[in-house]
Amino acid sequence: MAPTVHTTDPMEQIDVGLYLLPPKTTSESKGRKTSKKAKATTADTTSSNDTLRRECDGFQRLYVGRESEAFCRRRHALFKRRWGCMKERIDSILERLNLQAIEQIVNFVRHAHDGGLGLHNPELPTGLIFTGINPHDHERLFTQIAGKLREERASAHSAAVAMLPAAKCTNLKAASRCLIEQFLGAENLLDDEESNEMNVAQETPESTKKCTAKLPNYDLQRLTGWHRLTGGTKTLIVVLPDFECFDVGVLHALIGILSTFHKTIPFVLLFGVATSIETVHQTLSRDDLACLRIEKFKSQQAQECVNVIVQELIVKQPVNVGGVPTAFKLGLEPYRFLVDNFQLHTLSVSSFEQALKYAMMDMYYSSPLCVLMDARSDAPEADVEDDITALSEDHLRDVRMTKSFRRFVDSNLESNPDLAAAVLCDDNSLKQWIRRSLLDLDRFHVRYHAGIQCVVELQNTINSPTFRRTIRNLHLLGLQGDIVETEFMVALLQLLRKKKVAVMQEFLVACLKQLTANAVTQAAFSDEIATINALQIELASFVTSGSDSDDSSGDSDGAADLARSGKRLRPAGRTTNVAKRLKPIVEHVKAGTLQACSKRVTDFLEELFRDCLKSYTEMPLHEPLYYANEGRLKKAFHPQPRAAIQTALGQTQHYLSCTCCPSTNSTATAAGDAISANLQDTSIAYRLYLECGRLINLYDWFVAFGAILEKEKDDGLEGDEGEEDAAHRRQHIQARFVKAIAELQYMGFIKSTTRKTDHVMRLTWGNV
Amino acid sequence: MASEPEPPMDERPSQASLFPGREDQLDDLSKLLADKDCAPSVLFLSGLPGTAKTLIIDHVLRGRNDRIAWLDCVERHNPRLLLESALTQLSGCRPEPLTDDNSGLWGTFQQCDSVSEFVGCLDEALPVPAPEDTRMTTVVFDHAEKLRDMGPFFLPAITRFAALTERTVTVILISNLTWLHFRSRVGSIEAFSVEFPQYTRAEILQIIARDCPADEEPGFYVSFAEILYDVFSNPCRDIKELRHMVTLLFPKYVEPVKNGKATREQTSKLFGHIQTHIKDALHTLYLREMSSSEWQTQNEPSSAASKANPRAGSGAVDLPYYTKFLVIAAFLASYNPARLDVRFFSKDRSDEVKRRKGGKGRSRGLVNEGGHMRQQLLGPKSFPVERMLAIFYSILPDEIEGTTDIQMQIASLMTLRILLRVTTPDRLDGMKCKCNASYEFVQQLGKSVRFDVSQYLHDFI
Repeated sequence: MAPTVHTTDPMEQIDVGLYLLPPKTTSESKGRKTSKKAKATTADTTSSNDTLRRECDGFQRLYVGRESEAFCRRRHALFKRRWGCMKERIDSILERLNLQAIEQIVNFVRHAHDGGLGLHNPELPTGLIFTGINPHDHERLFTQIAGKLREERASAHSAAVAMLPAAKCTNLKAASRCLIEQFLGAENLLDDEESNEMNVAQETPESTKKCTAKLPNYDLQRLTGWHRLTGGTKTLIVVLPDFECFDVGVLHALIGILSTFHKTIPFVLLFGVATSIETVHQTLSRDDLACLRIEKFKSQQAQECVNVIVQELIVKQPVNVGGVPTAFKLGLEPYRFLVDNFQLHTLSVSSFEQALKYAMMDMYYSSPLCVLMDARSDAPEADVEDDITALSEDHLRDVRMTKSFRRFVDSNLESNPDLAAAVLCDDNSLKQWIRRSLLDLDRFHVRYHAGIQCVVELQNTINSPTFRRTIRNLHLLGLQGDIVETEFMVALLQLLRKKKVAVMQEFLVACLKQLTANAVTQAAFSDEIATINALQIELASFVTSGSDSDDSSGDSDGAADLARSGKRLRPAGRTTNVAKRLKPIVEHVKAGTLQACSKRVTDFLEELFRDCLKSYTEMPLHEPLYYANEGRLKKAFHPQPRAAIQTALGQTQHYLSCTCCPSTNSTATAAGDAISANLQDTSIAYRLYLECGRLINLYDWFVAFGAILEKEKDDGLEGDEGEEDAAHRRQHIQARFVKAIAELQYMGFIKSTTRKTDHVMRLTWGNV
Repeated sequence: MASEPEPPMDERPSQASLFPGREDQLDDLSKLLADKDCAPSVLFLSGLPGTAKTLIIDHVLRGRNDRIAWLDCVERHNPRLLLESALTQLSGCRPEPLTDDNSGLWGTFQQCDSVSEFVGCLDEALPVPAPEDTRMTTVVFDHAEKLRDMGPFFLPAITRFAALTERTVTVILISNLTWLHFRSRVGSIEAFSVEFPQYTRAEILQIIARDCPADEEPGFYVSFAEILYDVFSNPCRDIKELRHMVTLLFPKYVEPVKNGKATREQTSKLFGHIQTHIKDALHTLYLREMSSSEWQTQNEPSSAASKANPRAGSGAVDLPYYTKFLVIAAFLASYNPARLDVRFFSKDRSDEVKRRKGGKGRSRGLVNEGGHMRQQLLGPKSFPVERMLAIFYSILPDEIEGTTDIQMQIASLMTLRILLRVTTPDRLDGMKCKCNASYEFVQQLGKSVRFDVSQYLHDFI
């Protein structure tokens, strides 16, 4: 895929290495550029921008530098605040989810040395913590565990925790040093080696002890001695967060040593295992296993963690009543990108979190309207006044340029032409409109969240494995809009109708609970709540009156519904034999009121979902609230190195937007042989390479390369030159050629081969 | 690790009942080490793990007023640690903190990096004893096989301690290898070897009998041990494992007796009761899948629970969608010959052609099934990563762009040891790997992504 973005962002012109960009006013514009105005760059603004950028982590004034400094700072502050809140929430969510596992582990450690079976050989208590495949994610878990264990044991018995990451323990020496350092809590052990001689010399004269030399800092006698002198009761907990990465030999030795020490020092081992217990059996020998008393623990799966994060941080409304940011809205494409990346590629919570942060940062960095996200439209006026009334001309023009604004004006042209004219021409009424739209959006978000919760409840009621979707997939459906029309929802509602009255009642209660969760939702759902209450009463009457025929009515009800559903479902290809056979019955069954009632329930639900879960794109002014730049995320998290290299070599002007390069690749391909001599050497070699077959004759390549460079000479100076000059020039060309070839080889385009002399093998095919 | 599974033996009266089956060795050793002038300079104790080598020599040396340095070669993993510790122990001091703070620097007797330094320092640590001093000087190396890894001259130097230090020093090497493995070309001398043979059935039972709980009839306990020994003796004669099993299973065995459902004499009834447990235990022998504590808490003898439990940790590996395909691709690359890739994965053949080819293969498959050159039996072959990627892109149901993610997933599969790198880590191109996943695991993955692995495996067609 060739990059299609042509931006003037200086950061995107990076070719190789590191460029230091001098601070200047930049034309930071993402597709909404209005850069007809000249860049009035004075020395004054430059220096102020400079400090601004330094103080705001590189946030720049948008609108070609015309954005007011206050807004720029506000964007930065808002980003900081929002991310701070979100980060805190994510941490607390993860901690909450793992609470049970952590408690189990702590409990295990606490009782690790109580009693036991009276087995003859002491076994090392070992906890295997099955974490999941991303070790990076679990650093947090292990720090939490370590922290808990430290404070837990501070009261009763003392305990010490040592964390042995595999990277630090490449051999036994390093592992023991790491162990001793952490248990003894001494950092000064590090510089032991260097200051060895000197210290000894100092200490010998005054020391009356028999011990004169120093123990090496990896000598485990230090650990045993320390333990003896500190009372000998401390439990020592050794945590190996990444079991798989450990060197087998080190592990073997470590277990051996710890189990010999175990007679005097109570040790507890905790292994973080990413895969399964089979790995442990593969890694450890029989003797090692015999030393361990293994217990298994499971940390919360990444899937579940992300579900909760989505539920709490993405589905919810972005700002809560108190004005505290609670969630961040992603548009359909970025959200799909995040979820796909998680499901298909990483299963990693931390990378999900990082992508979310990146999206948020990009939103606040590049979109001037994002200040509206935190503008509380229903808060006390003074607070709002700040942001909405302070909006500049540029901001308002941006608002008028949004698609949703246009749709709003279009739809109002007929019905309310005055309003349309007012928002188009009058800034104040536009601000009023913004305020109103934000209020609507707020209401929409509240309703959306509750709606999704209702769908979850519905799933729980149906309780069928085929109709169970995670909330992150439900949200994806919701973003797409028309959730009621999806096959999934249709089937779900059909199933609900087949359920018994009691089940339906239960579901309605659950629904009601979701809708009346707090005052805000209650206000947003006043109509629906009333309807549900009415439906409940109606259903209740069936329970009391039709108690005699409860079972049969349930059955016949189900059969009738099945028949009806058979009719409805036919287009979806779900005609069963049973449905066909039951079809004649439907004529005989009188249209009972219960069926009518259950139909009303589903109709109501359909209506509810249709309204609550409509696509966000239908809402006016959703653009400032929903992050939509999927391309940016892709570029950051799905880099395509090969495509980038090939673009750099094949279409140099993308990266070096200089005048000498041929303007587009169309001329190059059209003219065929028109490879400009102005190109970079490697690029020339690469373009010639594209024309070659599987084996490339180096000499031919060289000649062609030389010919192109000669063209440059011809273009340059006309006059003939001496013999010596020509020879010199040939050498020069050869050197350049060799360099270009070496670079191509380094990048993996060619490989030397023994199959044919003076030939190299071509390794890449097809132009990505 | 031969940490010896014996209880403290001080209260036990006679030596013979103390160490069943080890009377000869005990006798030999006490005679050999009786007098310092007659003691051999190198004594070599060899025997499989769990044959009471360490225990016996400890028993012989204990209680004597000798100067002993006891060194575990696993823990003291280099010459410096060994020799320094030997000096410290022989000089009669122990490492102590140099500062008031325990966690600060620690002192030892003398720094000592090589055998020659050791010889020099020994005089300081241990003045040459007077001729009438009858105490011996002994240096014991447990897990002596590790000494062989500490440089080519270290082991010969150790065995010549007596000659080098010009004193009567006895070096005792304890190892589970035979002396044959210790001979080196340079400077090797013959050691006096004491063999510790494997225990016999009677001896094992005798040892197990001593574990009998105080409130239990020894006869009953031994009869249970006999049953277990007969069941387990085929796969396992390790005394440690057997004792572990007996201790674990005995409470289950007496359970009916305690409940009053049976008497101690109804052996066959009791055996019928214990049978399921034994089966389970036999299945997971050595694996310690269930810890002793879990075993204890797990009251329900129902086989369903015990079968569900061990599998709790296994097969639960949750991989991302594409990573599953990567593992499958790696597995196929490892178990299929490269020449058949075109047949299995080529896109330009239509499905029916493939099926026809598959059909042909199936007729020949009978040969494959029985042949001992079958790849499933031979284990995974290594393959270039490019081949795996080609298979990966061809088995994917949808097209994806080649991004860094795939490379990252390959790297993370390597850290999870599902892929094993065969080439050296510093070689970046032409990397070769092996697939370390089992067929069952891959089949499970295939099921979860609706990909029938067996359709693409040469062995199964």
